[in-house]
Amino acid sequence: MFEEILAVFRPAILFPWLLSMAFGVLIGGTPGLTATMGVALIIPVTYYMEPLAGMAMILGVSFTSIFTGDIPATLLRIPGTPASGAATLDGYELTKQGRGMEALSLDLLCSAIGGFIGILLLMAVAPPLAKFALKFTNFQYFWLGIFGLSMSAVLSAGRPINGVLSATLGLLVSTVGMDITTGLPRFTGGNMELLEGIGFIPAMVGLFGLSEVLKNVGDAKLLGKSSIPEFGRISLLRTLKIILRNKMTVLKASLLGTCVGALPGAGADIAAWVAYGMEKKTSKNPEEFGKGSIKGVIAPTSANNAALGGTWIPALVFGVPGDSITAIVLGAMLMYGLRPGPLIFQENLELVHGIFAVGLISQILLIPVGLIGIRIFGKILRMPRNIVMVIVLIFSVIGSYAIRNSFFDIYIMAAFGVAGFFFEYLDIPLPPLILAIILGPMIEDNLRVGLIKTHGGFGEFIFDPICLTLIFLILFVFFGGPVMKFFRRNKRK
Amino acid sequence: MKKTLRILFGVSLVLVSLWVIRTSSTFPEAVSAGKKIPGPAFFPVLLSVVLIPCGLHQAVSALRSGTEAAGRRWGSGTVNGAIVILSLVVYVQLMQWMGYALSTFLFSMYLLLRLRVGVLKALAVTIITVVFILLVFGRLFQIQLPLGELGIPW
Repeated sequence: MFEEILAVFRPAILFPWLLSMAFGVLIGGTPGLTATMGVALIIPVTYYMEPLAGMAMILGVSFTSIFTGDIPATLLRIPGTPASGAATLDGYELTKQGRGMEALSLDLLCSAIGGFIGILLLMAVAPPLAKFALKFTNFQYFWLGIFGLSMSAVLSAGRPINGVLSATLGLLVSTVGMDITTGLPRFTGGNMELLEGIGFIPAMVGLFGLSEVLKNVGDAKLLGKSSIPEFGRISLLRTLKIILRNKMTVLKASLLGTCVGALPGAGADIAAWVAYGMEKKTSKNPEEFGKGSIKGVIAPTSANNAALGGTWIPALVFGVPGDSITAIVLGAMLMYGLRPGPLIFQENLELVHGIFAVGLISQILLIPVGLIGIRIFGKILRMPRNIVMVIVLIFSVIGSYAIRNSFFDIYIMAAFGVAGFFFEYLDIPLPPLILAIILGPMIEDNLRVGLIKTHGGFGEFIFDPICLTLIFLILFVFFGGPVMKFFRRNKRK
Repeated sequence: MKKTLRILFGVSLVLVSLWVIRTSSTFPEAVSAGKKIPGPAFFPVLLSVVLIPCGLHQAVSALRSGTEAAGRRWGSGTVNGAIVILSLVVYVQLMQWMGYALSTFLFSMYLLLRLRVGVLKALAVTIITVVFILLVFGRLFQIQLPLGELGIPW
């Protein structure tokens, strides 16, 4: 393994790797550009490189863009990537309190630690965990998706019923378009552009970007002022002390993030929400969450980078992608003439070790690269609010257009932006809505394919040990708090 | 205003749910091994059934809340918001005609001046933004930015 670590410092690998990390900073920090998009764009560049250099570039882009996605999420409440959705909750609250730099430095170190733990787990437990994830049935995936949504619905600010409303509405939005099982167009109104469904990127950009612009331009007093009140100063030593005080939170969230990432289809975005939810549920001070809680920053940011390591588990061991990024990675591996799956551990063991080495070292490199990213984007985003809002608006428009080269997507973004503005006014949380749009197709497909397999029988849907466990967890998410309060009160009496 | 909006929102949710149920009833049924199984209508109907009580809850809780709660004031801010949305629509139309660069230049300048940014500053911000997007999206990522009917290459 030591030889493989030395091998990755060859210029042929190191330079493209560092360049890809700089590219990841740009991708993640720009709202509307996703880590998946960054990886997809870099694949053609890696075509003529040796496989390890290509893999290093892919890992570099994905790790840095997932972290830098948290920068606009923390400073402006606009997630740079979908995995940064949970970072908007407490990170942005800390920014409003003038502690933006504290939140970002915590975020950076937790991302690096989470990513490190994720890769270590990938190295240690890949085969047994991947086997477990592969055995998941359609119904179990359905309940896993509902569990992720329940977490998001309960955890977002406001009343849980509003969270349920938001998630249900998001699921309904996800049914627009061609039904995958029968090919029937649903709720498209004859519009060809809607056959592919409502894209989650324009929806996400609208809900988090345009709605924020509308909120800001609506307040004339704030327009000439900086969009970030006080930035604060970065102190890695102080941040390390905070992390040491919360070491169990970092560890728990990283382990959880890796496990969630290892389940195919459940990527860094779900991992972040689940980790945030678990932390809030088990916290002694759950009321602090959503108001600038340090643990509320640590948990999702540790989990989302740890999940990236997790997503490589089924991809490397069984050739099944853990998320959209590893789906592209599998395509790239085939392009390099590699065969992802169990045989890769026999035929290309050096490459596998090289990937592990790159993954581990990327976490160390993430710290200086991330600090540069924070400084660059911090300065850009500190401009007066009226200027920032116009720039955000233009990026929202171009980002929405760029995904499918579609003007229609800009209107989708605008519609979701207006809806998001009113939803916030009515205390309806936005994160469950966007997560439901992302997870909706997976949830519905697994439910219906499962029912086709059982010829419409609902027995396995509920009476299966894993399904029952997930159902119990979902019920616990909704009713655990009140039930525990009830018992505590009775105990006191 | 908030109370009225909440009532309208709740009622709209119920109406949308009823429309979804009605539209879904026209979808074909699915059959597996001679048995009826949930088809394309199943999931949307299931969601509508959940949304109806949620919508009713919104409307009823707003009605019960008594006097109008003090919330956001709808004054000049609302005008700014409406202008942003209207100018966005015009921007998209302009982009389809004159392409990315010119339309973005006009849109950015108009909004910045409207939001009380000085002319020189607005000009600098606009030019930097337009060029940055051209370089990052157009050159680096090779994303085809709108050319418009005029066919301006940038």
